[in-house]
Formats: sequence, C-alpha cells, structure tokens
Amino acid sequence: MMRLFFSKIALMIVGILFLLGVILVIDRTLLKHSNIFVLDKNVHLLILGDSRTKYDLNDKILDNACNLSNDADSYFYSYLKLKAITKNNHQIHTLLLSFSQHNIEKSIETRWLLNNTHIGQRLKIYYVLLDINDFYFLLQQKPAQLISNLFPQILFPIKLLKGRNIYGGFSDMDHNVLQEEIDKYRKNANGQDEKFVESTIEKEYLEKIRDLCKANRIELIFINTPLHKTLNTKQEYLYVFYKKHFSDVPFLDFSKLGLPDSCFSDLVHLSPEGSNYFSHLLEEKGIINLANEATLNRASK
Amino acid sequence: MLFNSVSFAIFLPIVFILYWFGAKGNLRLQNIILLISSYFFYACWDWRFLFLLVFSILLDFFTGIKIHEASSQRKKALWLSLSIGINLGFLGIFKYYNFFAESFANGLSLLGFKANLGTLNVILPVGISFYTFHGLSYVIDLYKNKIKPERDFINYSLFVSFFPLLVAGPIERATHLLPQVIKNRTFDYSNAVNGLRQILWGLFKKIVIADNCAEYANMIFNNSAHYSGSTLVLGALFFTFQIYADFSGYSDIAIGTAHLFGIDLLRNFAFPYFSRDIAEFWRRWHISLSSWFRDYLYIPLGGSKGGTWMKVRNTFIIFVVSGFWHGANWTFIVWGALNALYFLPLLLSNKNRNHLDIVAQGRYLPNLKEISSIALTFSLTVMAWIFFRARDIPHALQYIKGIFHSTIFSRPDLELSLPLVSTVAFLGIFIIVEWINREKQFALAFMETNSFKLSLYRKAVYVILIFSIFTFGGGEQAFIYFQF
Repeated sequence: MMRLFFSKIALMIVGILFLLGVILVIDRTLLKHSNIFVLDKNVHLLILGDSRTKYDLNDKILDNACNLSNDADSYFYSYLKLKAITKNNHQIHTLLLSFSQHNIEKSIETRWLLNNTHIGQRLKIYYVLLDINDFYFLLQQKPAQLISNLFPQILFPIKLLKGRNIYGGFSDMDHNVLQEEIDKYRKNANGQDEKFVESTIEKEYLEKIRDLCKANRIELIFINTPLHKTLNTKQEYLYVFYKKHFSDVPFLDFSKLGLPDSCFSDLVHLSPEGSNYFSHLLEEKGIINLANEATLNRASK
Repeated sequence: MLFNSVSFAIFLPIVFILYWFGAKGNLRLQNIILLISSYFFYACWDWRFLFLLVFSILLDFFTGIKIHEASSQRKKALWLSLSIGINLGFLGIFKYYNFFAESFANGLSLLGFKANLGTLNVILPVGISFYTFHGLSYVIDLYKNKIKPERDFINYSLFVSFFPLLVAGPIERATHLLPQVIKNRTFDYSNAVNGLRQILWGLFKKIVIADNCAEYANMIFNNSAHYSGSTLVLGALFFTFQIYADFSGYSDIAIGTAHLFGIDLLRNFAFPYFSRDIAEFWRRWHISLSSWFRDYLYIPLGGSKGGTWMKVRNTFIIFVVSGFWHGANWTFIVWGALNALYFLPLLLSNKNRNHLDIVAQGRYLPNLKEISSIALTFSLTVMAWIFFRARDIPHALQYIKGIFHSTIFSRPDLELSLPLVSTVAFLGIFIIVEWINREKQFALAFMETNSFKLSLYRKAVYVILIFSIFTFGGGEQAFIYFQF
C-alpha cells in the first residue's frame, strides 16, 4: 500500500513536471513568433536599466532609440533583455545603461533581485528568457521561488498580449512627492551612512552585459541621470567601483546637473518637464559625442 | 513554520518517512518521532515558549494523576482548581493582562480617578489558547471520571502537542485523541490519500481564496472612512470569506496532515455559510471550540435547563466568553454578544434545534424558504464579522454607519482589475464546489473508484487546484487564528 501511495505521488509529480515543460515550450514558441524583441531597423540606441532611465530618458525625443528600462530592474534582468534583443537586432550599436551607486550596492540584492515578492513578479515574464546558466543561477539563489513560479507561466500568453511594454519602456512619472521626500530626507539626514559593500551578483551581471556588448560590437555607455541637489551625493564608492572594474566603459555622470525643482518628481526621478529637458539636452549634445568626451577626459586624467 | 510555507513542505515528508519507515511500526518510536517533530515545529516559532508549553503539559500530566488518585472529592476539586488556576493564570498574563489593566484604568478615568497599572511588554505565545484548552479538557474529564489518567508522559505530551493541531486546533478531547495515541497505527492507503486531498483543498482555500480576499478586506477596512457604502459591503463580504477560508483551510490542512499519520482529528467546519439559522451556524463553525464551551461551560452552568433568565444568562456567558477567547479586545466581546442576541430568539422559542439536517439534502438546489433563511443568517453573520475585524468599537460603528449611507447604491470604488476579477471568479467557483459537496466531510472528499474516466477527472481537478495555488495565490500570509 505504501508503495502504491508513493508511486501515485511520484506519477503526479512527473505528470505536473511534464505539463510545466510543455507550457514553457509553448510560451517560448509564442514569444519567438510575437517578435516582441524585434525592434525597428532604425533603432540604434538601446536604453536599459531601472526606474532612473525609465522615467528620465524619453525615447520619443532621442533619435532612433528604444527605452526598455523598468522599475527596480537589476542587471540580471537587463542582461536577459539584452540577450533577447541582440539575437534579433544587429542594427543596435549603442547601449545606454543606468549606472549609479545604488545599482552596485550589496543591499540591492535583497531589496530587488532576491526579494521574494520581487522575484515572483519578475519571473512571471522573465522565465521564458532564462537559459540554462540563468536558471542554474536562480536555482542556487532561490530554488523555491524558481520552482513555484514555473506554474504561473500558464498565464504568460495573456501577458504577451500586452506587448513589449511588459518588459519596460519610457513613461512619465504620474505623481510628484518631491517636497515630502525633501522633508523626509532632511529629517533623517543626521543618520550615519551605512558602510558600502559592493554586490558581487550585480557586478557579475554587469560584466556579462559588457561581454555581450563586446561580442555583438555594441558600445556600452553608463549613464547616471540627474539627482536633486538636496541629496548632495558624493558617490565616492561608485567611482571607486567604476575605476576598479569598468574603467574601460564610458560613463556619463549627470547626477549633479543642477536642474530646478520643477524638473523633479522626487529626489531621484525627473518629472515630465525634467525628462523632456534632459532628453532634449542629450539629443542636442549627442550621446556618442558625450561618450567620446568622457573617454577623452578619462584618458587625459 | 506555516502550513503554507516551503519549510513545512520539506518538514512534512521528512516526518512522514521517519514515522512510517524509521519507526518500523513500533508505536513507542512513532510517538517519540511525532513528539520531537511537534516540539521542533513549535520551536520554529519561538523556542523560548517551548518551555511554557512543556510546563503546561507537565502541570496537567501530574495534576491529572493527582486528581485520579485523590482520596476525597474535596482533594480532587483542589487539584482541579490548581490546574485550572495556573492554566488560566498563564493565559491571563500573556493574553489578557494588558486588556484588563487598560480597561480598568479607562473605567476609573470615567469616574474621575486616575490609575496606571502599567502594561506588560510580552508577546502572545502562539497556540496558548489552544493547548491550554486541550489540557483543561483532560483534567476536567478526569475530575468527572470520564477518563483514566494517562501515565505515560510521551503519550500525554503528544496528545497536547501533536503538531498539526498545536497552534490553531482543532481543540481535541482526551476521549477522542488519547485512545488513538496509545493504539497501534498502521498505514491506511485511502486514509492517507484522503488526507492529501484535504491538505490540497485546505491550501487552495487558504492561498487562493483567503489570501486574495485578505488584500481587498485589508484595503477596505484600513481605509474605511474613504469608501462608499457599497464598497464597505464588499469589504465585509471579502472578510467573511477570508476568515472562513483561512481558518477552515487551516483546519483542513491539520486534519489532512493527521490522516497521513493514521490519526483522526475532530471536524472543525461543516459548510457554515449554508446554515439556515444562527444556531445551525454555530453547530457548523469552529465546531471543536463551540462544543468545548458547550461541554465545559454551558452545561455546567445549567445549559438551557431552568427558567428564562437562566437561559438568557448562560447564552450570553457562553457567547461572550467565546468572543473573549479570541482576543483581548472589546470588538471580540461585542461580536460574541451580538451572536448571543441572534441566538436568543431561537432558544427562547425552542427553535434552536430546528435544522439538524443538511440543507436541501438529496436535492441540487434549495427551495425559496431555504434560500431566504440562508441569506438572512449569512447577512447577520457578515454584520457580526465587522466587529470581529474592526480595530476597535468606534471603527466598527463608523464602518456600519458608512454602509447605511446613500452610497450603498453607488458603484463600488474598486478598480476592475484582473486580480479582482479572478478573486471574485474563484469565490464563485469555491461557493459552488462547497455547495455541491456539502454532504461530505470536506469538498474534495472523493470516494475510491476503479473508473478510469472518473480517476482522470479527479487528477485534472488536482492539477487545476495545484496550478491555481501557485498561479493565483495571494502571497504567503499568516493564518488569522494564530493570533488567538
């Protein structure tokens, strides 16, 4: 009887795993045929990163650009998107990637990438983009989340109907909490800074992004978008990290651009007015020119 | 360790294998394995309170023997009082001290006096209300000579702390569970399979129904001042289904888990929202607690014998104490009193035992009279749940006032989103499935079959439930009754 009990349970598990496999194959096939990652032939500039680039860089203003940044996207997800895009879009010659101190801090791993709620939401759409190495990485980090999020893949075709936007895209900030955030920041400003610890996972995926860009002859450019003056951010750790690991990548640091209050929705995101101004500024000066300038400046130092 | 957690999904198979294969049918070893597992399970919450649990077990174990061996009725009563006093003392300190201190101070301040009795900064040990009641039923039954004392500490300890029922019941009786603890247990295939089905159904109720309803119930109750009457009605309905699916889901998992070890626990829910009056509702809701209060409080007080005043008094006492058992808050007391008010007309007109059968038994649909009785009972229950869920009495009253407003006829303020639609759709399916299976022990209690077609249909149901749990689950949330 016990043998029958175990064999029935085993059969059920095998059956469910088979079903999950079939669902995943169907999802991948649908994704492939949806051409969701096939960009217009005239798109040469790809923008990836987190909410900073999502709300600050308007790809309707920037010529031949496509912004696929998303809120709280860690480099792991940017890497997955870049892999999918490079397979189908040989016309891309520049990748503008969000790069600021919070992106490379150890704490971001638990707040974003390895946070249970966060990973649950992300895997609903990113599961189909995982290859065996990505799968193994998550299996090591979050096995239960990885397995339990296989089931919601049954709903992926419905999500796919929404189009490319499920993976990100520029949008205007629809709220303004700048004054509240300034007050809050000033109230808590006396607190001591936490010790900076660099994220090994984010660094690893940033390196993978760099390697992938090199392999596809895409110029990788880091961008740190404007921050509100209240923050008075020193970002010393960002520069230490940058010089130590990624000094070969051009870095456009606009964090101290000094935009007026009306250009901010909060301390770290631009308002529609701000993103409009900032995107026009980049367009006028030319991202490649700015990158070259940054490279020259770096070389002369 | 929550029943709906990964750690429990690992813990349960390990205990199962150790129990059936490690013990090799040796009852003593099986009980030791279950006891150690139960203590480990409890220690996962907070190992410090394990000492309190063990103390409570030791107390009742020894006073139980003393009660049995006492030479006179006076000595028996003395030992019983000692056990009840210490047990309720602990419950009082951990659960009720702050409530009494604050209420006393507030009462005095109304009379113009100032008093500060101080409050205790203690956390409530999980399951204390449940295991205290286990112990009390044991010593009271011994005092009444209903049972003989259990002289094996491991057996007695397992009776109180068996992990499926340790933190939120069902509240077991020594007459039901102890004989099973000391009896040889062999693996029963259909019992185990039924246990798995009940676990699956319990998980579905908790994760898909309760946790999704909780999101809307919490949102509406926490911001009730800003919502229209119609939205507040929806909030109350969401909570009504949340608490039922949450607690009965927990009970299903507990009972199903016990079946895997060859142990049968008391039924705790019997489709209460299909009740035709409040008396029937209370025979179907949290059965193990209702019957506990009936046997150890209501009947000793005289029950429904005696004059009208006695009936009214006893009814109020049992309902108010039952409400207070849930937590140290006036909201629970009012909830209990409200249910007493609902119940009294039935009791005084001798109609409280009118509906002992199952509604619309042998029929697909209820008749009009049954529908109206169910709807009325359900509405009264929903109204009472508002007090149960509210922060305090003013919040409950403000909530009810908000319902009876002209906005009750307006469109609810909830955005028509996919999660809302899926929650409502699952609720609809859940109610239909429960209705169809209301004559069974639980909705997924299938009979064994040799029919291939039927077996395939069942497997499809299991797969759908598993996919729903993982796909539409409302996120891991603690069970409501753990706080009691």
